[in-house]
Amino acid sequence: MSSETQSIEGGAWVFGDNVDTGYIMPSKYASLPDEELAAHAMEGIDPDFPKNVQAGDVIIGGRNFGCGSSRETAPRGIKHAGVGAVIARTFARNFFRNSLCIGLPVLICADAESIAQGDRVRVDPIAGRVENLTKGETLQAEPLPDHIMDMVKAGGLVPYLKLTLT
Amino acid sequence: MSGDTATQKILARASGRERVDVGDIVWAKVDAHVMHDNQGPFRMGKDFAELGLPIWNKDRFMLTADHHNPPTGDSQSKVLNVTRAWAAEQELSHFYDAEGICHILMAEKGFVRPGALVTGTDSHTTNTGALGALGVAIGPTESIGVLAKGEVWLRVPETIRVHYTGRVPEGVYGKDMVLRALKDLKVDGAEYKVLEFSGEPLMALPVEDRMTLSNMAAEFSAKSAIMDVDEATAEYLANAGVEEGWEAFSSDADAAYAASYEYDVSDMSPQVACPHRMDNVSPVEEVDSPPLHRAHIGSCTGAKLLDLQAAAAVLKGRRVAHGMQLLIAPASKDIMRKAMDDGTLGAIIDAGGVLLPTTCGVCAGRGPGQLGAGEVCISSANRNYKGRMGSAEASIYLASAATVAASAVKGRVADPREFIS
Repeated sequence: MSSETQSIEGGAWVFGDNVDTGYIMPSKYASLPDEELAAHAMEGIDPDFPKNVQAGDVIIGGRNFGCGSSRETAPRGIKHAGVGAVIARTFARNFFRNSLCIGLPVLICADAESIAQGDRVRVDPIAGRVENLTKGETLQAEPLPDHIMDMVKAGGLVPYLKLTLT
Repeated sequence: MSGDTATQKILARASGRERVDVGDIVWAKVDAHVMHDNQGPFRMGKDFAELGLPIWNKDRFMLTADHHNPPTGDSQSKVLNVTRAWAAEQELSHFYDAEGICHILMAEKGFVRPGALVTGTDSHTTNTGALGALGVAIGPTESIGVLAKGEVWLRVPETIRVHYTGRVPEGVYGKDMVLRALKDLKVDGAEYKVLEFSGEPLMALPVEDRMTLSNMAAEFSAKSAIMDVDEATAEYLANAGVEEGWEAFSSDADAAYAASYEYDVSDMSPQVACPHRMDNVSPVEEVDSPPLHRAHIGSCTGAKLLDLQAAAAVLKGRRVAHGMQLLIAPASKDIMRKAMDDGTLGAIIDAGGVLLPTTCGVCAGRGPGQLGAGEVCISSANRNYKGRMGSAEASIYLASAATVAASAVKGRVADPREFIS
């Protein structure tokens, strides 16, 4: 992972449990190119999100974040909208894998819901550390297996495969 | 030490190990892989080309154009044309263009064998469980890794057992059995876990209808689904051209399950998932719906031949209620052809049904028949969150094809048992 993304800092956007990928990126945008997805990120649950999100902001989920369809447009749209990381109590596996593959940091954090809407958050995805600057609290994310961390450090699956296969 | 689940046995075989434990992370060889237009070359083609590696095994790889097909606008046309160009460039031997929905084609064309590990760029890859294969969803970027290496990493999951007893009553189908379990387990009930469906009434279902359960494992957030195979499975496989070269796995009698659920289906009513969540399930007799605008029989979940036949049995000699429309999209051309030949399609069309292409269509929120604001629909498909089939202001009920047909006749959510003698 490049040094500029090693520390991610921004405001928190808090969503609840079971946020379906159909809300993160509605089906009707499935055929849009990547760069046009950003304008519709989270639109199915918060139509104002795309115009208010700032680069480096962090999405906070509850349980089973990103359930439903395995559409990769969901994490791609969030990433292109400038979201630096997603932190949730648990993730649906498809969203979790897709995010890691495209280089969007996702952190499983049992205390994710201690972060409130608008809290200032700093995230170190390599160390798995989440600092809530507003509350002065530090949360530790669940460690990920080494082979996944290698991919995270490379910035996603494609750069990782370029390093290891070619 | 407890015994192993079927899932452990499949992953042990696929990773070349003697046995695996829950929680182990394994690199497993993929026996078959599928991508579709919505999660295919349009998203991963450029990255795959940059790697410059060949596809690991073109005989085990299927590409379908089912989500955006036929297109309704420029952006969909572009996705399709990128998909077709990539299929030609890669000289694919198994590219299916508007021929059917990927999960059904995978089964029909013999890509799914018992004991196999199948990956696909679609959440409903769990469909393979009805044939005793472990189907796991991945995304288009991860698909690059599978195409290049023929391998995928997986954490060996826990299994939840859903066991059915009793005798399946008239008017009750696989859809009702799976919705009943979804009511209890909820949409996150099988997160990271495999759902193992079992029991005599399950095995009494035709193989196609067993798929309705494994398909909808995705709605429990399951990693996959699995069930035993029997003579009916072998017959289905033989019809798909798979006569040999597979080994089925069953869970040991003392296998450890994360949880167990049991349902006696003997007195089960047809089940309906009400807006706007798949686990908001009630027996049909307790559902008092507003007037419906649309009834839809389609998708990989609810448009197999037996679904169409169950709908036709209800619709034969009757008419769709005034003020509403019945849409029907068979899940594959093979199903459409059989339904033409046996009079099923005729009965549905004569009742007022409108025939749509054999693709995902409105279940993927695309194509004709999308719901407008304020409209109410009943569908044999798989998801009913806001906006799934068009406007976020629309409402969707989910049920079996028979219940959808009965509701089309009545104009409100209705009990199919009234129409079946």
